[in-house]
Amino acid sequence: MTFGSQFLRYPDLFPARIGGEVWGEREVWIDLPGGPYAFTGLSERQELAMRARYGDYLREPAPDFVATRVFRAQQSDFLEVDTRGWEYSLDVEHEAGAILIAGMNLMARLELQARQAGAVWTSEDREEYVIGVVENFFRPLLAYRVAERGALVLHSSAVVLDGGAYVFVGRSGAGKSTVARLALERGHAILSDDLNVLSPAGSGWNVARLPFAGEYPDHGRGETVPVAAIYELEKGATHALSPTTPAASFAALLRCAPYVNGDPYRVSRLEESISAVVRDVPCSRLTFSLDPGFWPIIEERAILR
Amino acid sequence: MNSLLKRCPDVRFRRLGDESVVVKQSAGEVFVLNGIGGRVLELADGTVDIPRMVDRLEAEFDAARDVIAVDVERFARELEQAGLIESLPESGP
Amino acid sequence: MTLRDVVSRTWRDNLLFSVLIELTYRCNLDCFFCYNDLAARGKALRLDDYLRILDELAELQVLDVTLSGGEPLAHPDFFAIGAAAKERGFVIRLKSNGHALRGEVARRLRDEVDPFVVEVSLHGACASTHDRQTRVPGSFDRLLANLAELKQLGLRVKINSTLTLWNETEVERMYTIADSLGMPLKFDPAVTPRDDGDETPLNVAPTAGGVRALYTTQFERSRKLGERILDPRRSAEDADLVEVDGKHCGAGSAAVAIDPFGNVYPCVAWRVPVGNVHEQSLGAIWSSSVELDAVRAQVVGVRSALEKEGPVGNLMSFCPGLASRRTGRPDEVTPDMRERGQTLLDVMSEYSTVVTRVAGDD
Repeated sequence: MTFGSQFLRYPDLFPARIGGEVWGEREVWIDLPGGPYAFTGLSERQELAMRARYGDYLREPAPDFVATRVFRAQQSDFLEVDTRGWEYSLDVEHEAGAILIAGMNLMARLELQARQAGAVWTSEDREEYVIGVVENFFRPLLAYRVAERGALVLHSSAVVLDGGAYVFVGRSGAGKSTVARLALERGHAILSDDLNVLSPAGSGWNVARLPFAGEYPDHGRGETVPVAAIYELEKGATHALSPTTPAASFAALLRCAPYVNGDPYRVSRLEESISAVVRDVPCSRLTFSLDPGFWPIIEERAILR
Repeated sequence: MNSLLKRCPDVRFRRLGDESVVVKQSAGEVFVLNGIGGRVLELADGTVDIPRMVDRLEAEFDAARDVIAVDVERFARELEQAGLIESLPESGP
Repeated sequence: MTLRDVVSRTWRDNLLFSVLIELTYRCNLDCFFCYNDLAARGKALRLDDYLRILDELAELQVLDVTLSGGEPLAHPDFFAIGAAAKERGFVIRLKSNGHALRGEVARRLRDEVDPFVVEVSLHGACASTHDRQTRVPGSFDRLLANLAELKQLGLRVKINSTLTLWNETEVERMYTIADSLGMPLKFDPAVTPRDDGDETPLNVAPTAGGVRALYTTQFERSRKLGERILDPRRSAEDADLVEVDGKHCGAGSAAVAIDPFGNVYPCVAWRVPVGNVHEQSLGAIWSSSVELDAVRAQVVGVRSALEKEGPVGNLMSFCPGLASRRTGRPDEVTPDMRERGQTLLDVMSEYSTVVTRVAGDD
């Protein structure tokens, strides 16, 4: 299947440059790792939706920013997608200088050479849909930006215990959201149960939540917490903590570093960062049976730290 | 020749003052027609035959009916030869 | 009356005859020397605006409508706009990069828009040169395949090319490609700055030797085809120029261009706005724009500027719009324009002598 053919009426017309006709002249500036990010060319409705969504992260215009221009497309640019019994995943193409993204009511380019900039073409400016469209671009944009700076975005749940963060990674369905729910029930703070950013800090790493989708997206502006340990989740009958080899930890983290991990042109920088994480942060495998019985193991480690 | 006259579908034309510029798309040819020639082409919408065209043009041009009739006949023939119009069999009884 | 007389008349009487519409700056290629101003802002025209404009153009007796861009097909309402233009009886010209002209898109173009001609751009005779320009790998191979498909569909195609530093040694092979497809190939010997004045594209301007080689190739071809080559030492009239009331070209007198935001310009190459169709009807702009009147006076002024240049003046394909962008004055000749004119004069002189003798035409 050619790139975009699942979503676009005419994939041959996918934009090869950042150009077109914008929705309006409104702008939103967002402060997130790898940013600040400016979204320009917005209609009033798009601007209001973005402001409502990113309230805690909004900021004043800054000189050094990553600009994404939002252009108008029409419904006729996109195919009707029958979403019954279907799991939505974006179509992504990697080029030497750019990432191309096609999705529902979305075409986007992320230019990664000379001047970093993004462009989104969408037919949506209804509040309830535009946020989803923008986020489908924002997530990879942010993942690439932080990866380039030696940090990484991780599909993970992060729980805060005694000032340290415990980051749980694992395949889809391994229990990341369950861990987050159980943590809240036990009175622990959580960061995100979907996407967190790990960034180097001295001889260790910090983690911060990203305000994207996930079970608990509206958790306010998150703090930055030192990473105490990383656990690779695995479903099992009992609870057990077992050591892993650095290679196994590396593989587990790479699997959970979305967008950039599938990009042959840019994965090497990400791999360097993951190697450093594995070197700097204790990693082990946590087998658990989706119930709170594993907490003592984690809590004990937190106290010992 | 009492059949109805109809412009060929590949013909594009515009008035330019008292003349008409005509493009026959399929052949890539351009013609320039004078006043009556242009009007014949313009009126040839498939519902009009030559006598009715003469009626219309008599009102527009300051010339005797028989002179106009001769011109219209001639232009219709030339336009047909050039592939700009075609004659349709007259409809109705 | 000949077509040349018609053109003369449109210039003289300010009869709007040709309109170029830049539908969108969206594009599926990313040509290095593209002249579009991608930072241009404004309220984009929508489908209903275009329908209103097309109605008005038909009313004004405009014959030629050129759909351009960006890539015009990338406008989400392209087929609706194209079909509306067809329905209103325009001679439709499409300027496309050809990258998407295959399969369903090509068929729909023929059936729903029925253009008089499709003009596509070829940037070299091999993939490395063409794709270097378009910055989309595979675009050369795709274009050649698409051109064959368009021909199969019965669409009339013209190939345009801009001579650059990158392709100047490939001219003959580019003609070979065009010949094998049975399509005419036209070269523009000048690279132009972008519409916002950015002169980066001039970095790939062809060398003097490249321009000379192009002219030589072209005259060599004309000679083989037995075409008459004009003697530039004779009068300007012989240089086959349309010139009426001292007007240098039809910019603003017989033609205008409209950008995606409704700004109206005297010509696609002359980016001085003379009105906006969001605010005024095209008819009103045409009959009462002060800026347009100024342009009409300027294209007269250009004649006298060019006369001072001697025979070269008629041979440099002088474009007042381009001169405006380059120097701020529509009648200012730059050294490279003069040099190009002189090169053409030199090459033409060699060939016109030969041809005059061969054809026994004198």
